[in-house]
Amino acid sequence: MPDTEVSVPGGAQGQVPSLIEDSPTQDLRTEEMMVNMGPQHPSTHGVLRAVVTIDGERVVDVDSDVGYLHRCFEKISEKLTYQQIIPYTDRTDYLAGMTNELALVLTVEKALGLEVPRRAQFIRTVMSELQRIHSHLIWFGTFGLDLGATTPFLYAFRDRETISDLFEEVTGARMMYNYMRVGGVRNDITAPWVKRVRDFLKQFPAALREYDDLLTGNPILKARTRGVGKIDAQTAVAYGASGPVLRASGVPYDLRKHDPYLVYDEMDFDVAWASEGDVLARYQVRLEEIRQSIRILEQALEGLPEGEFLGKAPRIVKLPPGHYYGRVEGPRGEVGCYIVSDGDRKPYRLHWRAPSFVHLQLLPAMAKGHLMGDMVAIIGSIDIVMGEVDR
Amino acid sequence: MYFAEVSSLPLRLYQWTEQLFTNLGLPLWLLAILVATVKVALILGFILLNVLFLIWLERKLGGHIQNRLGPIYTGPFGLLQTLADALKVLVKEDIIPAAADRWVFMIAPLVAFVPAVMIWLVVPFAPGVQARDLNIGILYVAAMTSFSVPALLMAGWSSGNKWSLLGAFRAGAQLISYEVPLILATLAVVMLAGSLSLNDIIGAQQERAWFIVLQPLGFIVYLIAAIAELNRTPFDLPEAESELVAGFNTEYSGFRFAIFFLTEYASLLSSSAIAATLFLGGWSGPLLPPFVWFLLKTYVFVFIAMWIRFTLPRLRVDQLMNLSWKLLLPVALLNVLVTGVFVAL
Amino acid sequence: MSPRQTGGTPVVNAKAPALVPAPAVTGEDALIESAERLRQELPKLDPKIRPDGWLEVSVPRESLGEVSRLLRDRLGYDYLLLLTGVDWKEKGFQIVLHLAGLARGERLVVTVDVPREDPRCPSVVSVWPTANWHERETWDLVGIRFEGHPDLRRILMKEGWEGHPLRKDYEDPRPPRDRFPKPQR
Repeated sequence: MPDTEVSVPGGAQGQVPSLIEDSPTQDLRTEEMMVNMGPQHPSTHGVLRAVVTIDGERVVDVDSDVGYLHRCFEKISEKLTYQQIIPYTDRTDYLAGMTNELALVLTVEKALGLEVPRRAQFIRTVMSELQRIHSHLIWFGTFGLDLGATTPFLYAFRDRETISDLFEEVTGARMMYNYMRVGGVRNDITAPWVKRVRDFLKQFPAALREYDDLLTGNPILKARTRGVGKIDAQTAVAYGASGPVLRASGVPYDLRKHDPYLVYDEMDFDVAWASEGDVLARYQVRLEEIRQSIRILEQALEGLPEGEFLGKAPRIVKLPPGHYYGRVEGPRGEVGCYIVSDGDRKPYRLHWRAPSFVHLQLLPAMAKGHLMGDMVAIIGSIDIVMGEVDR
Repeated sequence: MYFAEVSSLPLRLYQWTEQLFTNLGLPLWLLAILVATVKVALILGFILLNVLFLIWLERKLGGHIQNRLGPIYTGPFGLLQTLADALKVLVKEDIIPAAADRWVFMIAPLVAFVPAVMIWLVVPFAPGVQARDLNIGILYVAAMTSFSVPALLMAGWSSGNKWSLLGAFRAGAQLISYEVPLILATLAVVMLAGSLSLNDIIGAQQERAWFIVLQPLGFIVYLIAAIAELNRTPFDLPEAESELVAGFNTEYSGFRFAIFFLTEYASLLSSSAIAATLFLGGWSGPLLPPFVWFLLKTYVFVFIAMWIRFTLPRLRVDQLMNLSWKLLLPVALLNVLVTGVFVAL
Repeated sequence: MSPRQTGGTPVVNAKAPALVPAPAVTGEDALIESAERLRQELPKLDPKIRPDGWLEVSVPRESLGEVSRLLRDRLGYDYLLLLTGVDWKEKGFQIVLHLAGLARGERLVVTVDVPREDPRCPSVVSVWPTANWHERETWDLVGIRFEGHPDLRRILMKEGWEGHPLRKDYEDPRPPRDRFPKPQR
C-alpha cells in the first residue's frame, strides 16, 4: 500500500473529526499505532505477546514480551540430581523432548568421561531423528493453519500420530518421554518396533510428496512467503541463529556435521540449506530436513548393533568441579546445556540455551517493513516454542 | 405433460383462489397480500431449511476432506447439529459493548440479512415458480449483493473496537473491489441473453447452450469474484487474520451473531443459485423435474466453494486487491469485449 | 553439501553459501595452534585447552569490550552461543560467554569475574547483537547490570519484580506454608 498524504479537514496531525458525539473514532489518528498480538492468540505459538507498532498496515517495530511460561527451570534444577532433571528438560521444548534430554545427558556424560555403548548411541540417533520428523510435522501443520490452509494440519497430524504411537510403545509416553539416561537409554527397542518404524518410513515419503503438492506448489503460499521476513547470513550469524533459521540464510551449519555427537559422523546425509533467508526458504529447508532424517533413520536402523542399551553409569552422579557445555542439533536449532558443578550431585548452576529464545530476537529484523498480515507467516517460520523461550 | 401440469399448478391455484375470493365477496387486494405472505413464508422456509443443511454440509465435507468425520453425534450423521447450535446460540446472553453505538449495532445484522433474503425475490426455482419476474432481474440482484458493504461497515463501526473497525474497512475494500469483475461477468451474460430478466436468461440458455460453454472466462471470473464477495477462504482475511479475532464480527454474540452467520450461508446459497441460473441454465434440463435441476446445479456451486475453502491458504490484503484490480478486471473487460464482438456479428 | 532432490520442489540453491562453516576443531595440534593464535592477538590472556575441544580464557572486566571486539574482528569469533551469569556467593559473580568461530571451527569460553559489591559489566551487544536478550536475562535473574546495553529491562520475570531469583541469597517472597498439610477431619 503506498504511503499517501491524506489531508483531513479540520484537525491537525491527521486527527479525524468525529461526526457523532462520543464516537469511538474520536481518537483515530493516522500515526503509528501499537497493536498487541497475544498472549492468548491463535497464531502465536504459545504465550507470546508481540507488541507491534504499525503505521497503517506496515510494521514499524516489534517488541516481544516473553516470560508468560517461565517455570523457574534453572532455579529448580539447582535442587535436583542430574537424573531428576531429565524430565524437566522434556518440558522446556515440549515438542522435541528427545533432543532436549539428549543435550543434558550428553553434557553429563562428557563431564564424567563416560563411555556409552554403541547400541545406545544408535537408539538415541533413531529417537532424535524420529523426534525431528515429529516436530517438523507439527510445524508444517501449524504453519499451514496460520496461513489459512486448514487441511494440511490434519494430514500432518495423521502422520505424526504414527510417530507418537511408536514413541509411546518404547517410552510409555507420547510427549514427555523421560527416556534418555546417563549412559544410555531407559528401555530397549525390539525387533517388531524396528519393523514398525521401517513400515512407517516406507509409506511416509509418499505422504511427504502429497504435502508438497498441497502446500509447497501452491501459488498463494509462494506469494505469501517469498521475500517475506528476509535476513541475510551476517544478520543471522550476528544474532546467533541456528538450525533451519541459519541454514535458510546461506550458512550450511549443522551440528550433526560440524560438531558431531552420537553416531552422526558415520551417517551419510546432506545438510539442507537455502540462500534466500525468507519464509519460503525456511519452509523448504525444514521439508528437506525431514527427507534427510528419513535417510539417517534408514541407515541407523540398518546398522543397529547388538549390545547394551544402558552402559555402566554411577548411581550417584557427581560431576567433577568445573563447567561444561553440551550442544545438540534440535529441530529448532542448537540446544545447549551449560552446567556449573562444584562436585556435588546437584548442579551448582544449570543454564539452558534455547534456540527459540535466540531466534525471537530476530523478529524485529524480519518483520520491519512488512504488512501486519505477514507477522503470522514470519512467527510461524521461526518455529518458536514458548516453553523453551521462557523455561 | 406431467411437468406442464406441475408447472401450471401455481397459476391454477391462484386462479382458483381468485375465484373463491370473488365468490365470497372478499376484496382482491386481500388476495394479493395473502399471496405475498405465502410466497415470503415459502421462500424463508426454503432459505432456512437449506441454510441449516448447508452448515451441516460444510462441516461434514470439511471434515472428510481433512481426514476426519465432522459432526456424528447429534442425530443421524450429525444432521441435527446445526439445530443444536442454533438453539445454543439463542439462549446466550445478549451483550452490547459499552462503547458501542447501540442503534447501529442492533440494526447492522438486519441490514446484512434482509437484502440477502431479498435477492430471492427474483430467483427462478422452476418455470412459473418465481416470486416476481422483474424485468431488471440481474440488476436487482447486483444491487442487493452490494448491501453487504454498508452492513459490514456499520457492524465494524458500531462495535466500538479498533480492530473491528479495521476488519470492517478491509472487508469493505475487498467487497467493493470484487463487485466490479462480478458485475462485468454478469454483463457479458446479459449481452448474450439480450435481457436483464432471469427467466429470459434461462430461456436464452435453453435456445443456445449453457452459458458456461459460451462464457468460460466469464464463469471463472464470476466464480472467483463470488467467493471473494462471500468472504470465504481464500479471501477470508477480514475475518480470520491475526489481530482481528473475527473482524467486524468480534463484538457480536448470541442471536445477532447467528444472524450474521445465517446471512453468510444464505448469501452462499443465493450466489450459487444465481451462478446456476446465469451459467448452468437454471431449472432447465431433461428428465428430472425443474426444481430438482435447480437444486442440483445450486449445490454444484456450493460444493465447489466448500472444496476451495478447505484446500487453499489465505491471500494477504494487498494480494487480494492486486488480484481484483490487476487480474480479474482486465480479464472481465476482455470477456465483455469478445462477447460484444460475438453478439454484434 | 547441497540438498538432494527426492520428489517435490528442490530447495532453491543456485548460489554458493554465504559462509562455509568448518567442522569443530578437535585435534590436539589444531587446538594448540588456535591457542597460540589467541595468545598472539591478546598477549595478556592465557588460554587453557579443555579436554572437550574448547579453549577457555578469563578476561578482566574492564577490558571486556575491547577484547570482544578483537575476538570478533581479528580472531573470527563471530558467533555468540550464550551469555550467562553464575553466582559464586562470597567470590562474587562470574559472566560466562560461549563463542564459536564458524569459519575455522574454533570454540571459546570466556569468563569474566565480577565483584559482588559492584555487579556491573560492560555489555557486548555492540559486538554480538544476540547478546541483547542474554544480557537482559542475566540482569533479570542474576542481577548484573550491563553498561552500554540499549534496553536493559526484565525479560522473564514480571515488570516491577523485586529481587533476582537465580542469586543464591534470593528469598522466596511467598509466605511460609505447610508443604504437606494434614487433611482436616
